Amino acid sequence: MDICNLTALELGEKIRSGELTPTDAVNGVIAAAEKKDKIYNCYTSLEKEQAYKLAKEVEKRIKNGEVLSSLAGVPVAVKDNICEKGKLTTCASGMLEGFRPPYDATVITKIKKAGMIPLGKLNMDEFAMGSSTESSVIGCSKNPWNTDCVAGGSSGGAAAAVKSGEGIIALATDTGGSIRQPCSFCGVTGLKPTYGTVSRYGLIAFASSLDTVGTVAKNARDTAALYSIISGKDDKDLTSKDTEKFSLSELENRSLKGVKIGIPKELLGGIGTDTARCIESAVATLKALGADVNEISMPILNYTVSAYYIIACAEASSNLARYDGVRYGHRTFRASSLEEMYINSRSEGFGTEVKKRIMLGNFVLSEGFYDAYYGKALKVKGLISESFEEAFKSFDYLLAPVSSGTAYKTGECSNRSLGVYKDDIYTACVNLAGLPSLALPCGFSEGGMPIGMQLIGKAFDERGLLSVGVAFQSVTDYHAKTPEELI
Amino acid sequence: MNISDELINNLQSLSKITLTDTEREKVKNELKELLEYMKILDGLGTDGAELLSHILSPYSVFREDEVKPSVLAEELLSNAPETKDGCFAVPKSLE
Repeated sequence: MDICNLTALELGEKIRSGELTPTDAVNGVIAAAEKKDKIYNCYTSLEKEQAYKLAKEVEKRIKNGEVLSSLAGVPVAVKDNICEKGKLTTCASGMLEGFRPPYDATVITKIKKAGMIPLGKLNMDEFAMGSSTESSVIGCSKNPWNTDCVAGGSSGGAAAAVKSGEGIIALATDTGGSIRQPCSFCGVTGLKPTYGTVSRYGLIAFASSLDTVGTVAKNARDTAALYSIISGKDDKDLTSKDTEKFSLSELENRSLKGVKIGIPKELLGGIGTDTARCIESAVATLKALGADVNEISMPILNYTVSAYYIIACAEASSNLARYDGVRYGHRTFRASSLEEMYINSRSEGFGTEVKKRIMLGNFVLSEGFYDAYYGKALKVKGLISESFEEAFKSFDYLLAPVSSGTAYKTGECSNRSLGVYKDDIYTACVNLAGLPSLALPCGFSEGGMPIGMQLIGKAFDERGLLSVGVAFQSVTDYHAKTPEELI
Repeated sequence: MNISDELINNLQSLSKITLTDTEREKVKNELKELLEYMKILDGLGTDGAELLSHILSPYSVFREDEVKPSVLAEELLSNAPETKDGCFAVPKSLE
């Protein structure tokens, strides 16, 4: 049996019943990764020792009758910007080459407590800045549907691993669309939860007011199971909040009769014909399930990309100031003074995209430009947040595309930086408003590439979002399809 | 928006970063394009609109002044390129 063909909940069930052991699960993922990773390049590192040790511990805990989560014994791959004590955590950057954090992120502590086994660090765009994983120091992750295409970014490794069968479920992060876009490109399910529902302690920061830790999984049910484990208030993250607890059974069989879903028409602009067709088909499915679906106008969303890049880069310039070669990370050999050490360490350690964003961030915060750029962007952020609040007075959920089209071809992004940034209009507005969004596969292009949609919910309504996702996936099978030519 | 060499030099200085010649050309062009695009903001009236820094209202959180375990100093030094007597060692900064 190929363990990676199972969903996370199916594997959890087989471990609970004794049909498989956690060690079998770890062996299964390692075997798949060793076979396939030279093609798909999903992992920046795959350190096995801790995983085997944890597997044995989980086996002992199960034997002792301890009640663990429904995902106990299931290996979970972790995006390479989430700290794991003693394990390589590099943000796919030369700046953090060899870095082994001295502590676990809270999400790691939580998954270990639940009996899950972190295994493998997933490829990403450097410091989560990008839409293709091409800025990674190990190169891009390939799309399992077509290896001439990228997996997407910045959580490309996560999406590619879950679809290619190199992994079963993953933790990833979303600052401007970095879970939802690769999930859409690879045909898997991704949750960007409400800002504050999942602790950011141990998440290597990009833009602290926008960063969220979320999930990449095969379906909405697996998503719900992992979200339940990682969510909740954490004393170590003062922006985290109490979250509603719900069981999987509460998500099943939800009637969508009378559920009101709005489509912001500003987010239908610029999408290709295949994406338009898939969105229409998803609307028809939701209507058939009983939902009322109508368009809504939210003109402020047209300013998303400008506001997002100003705010994200401003925060990044501050967050990445810590990389100075002093306490960790790359230190230059060429330094005759402290100042030179800072400049040369950073110049050697960071890639071009990261440098550009730091410089843009410093620009928008600098004297003479602060009000026109950063101040203005914060006002737009407020207006976007209000616009969503207003929309949710008339609708229960909003539906939108995740990207203008399917996965980019490798190399395509390097010559059209602004074009790629503009694709963030669909996703980044949600981060600016701090809302939750669930990305679901909803069809394929004429060329056979996956297309996803997102359901955006009110703040802290992950339960509602996930129940609609479960309902949608109970009558569609896009999420279950696999590429014919999968290795 | 004019992206002069002087501006790039200033931004390099603020960022403590030096671009290579190839990077400089690429960054200059891409920043120019991006800032040109961002002119869209000039056309948006935002008088009276509030600056929204935090989505969640921030508030201070306190705990009792009790000694609790933190991270051990040795662990924090474990990734340092160079240490001396339990400190991070760096090139001289004062004459």
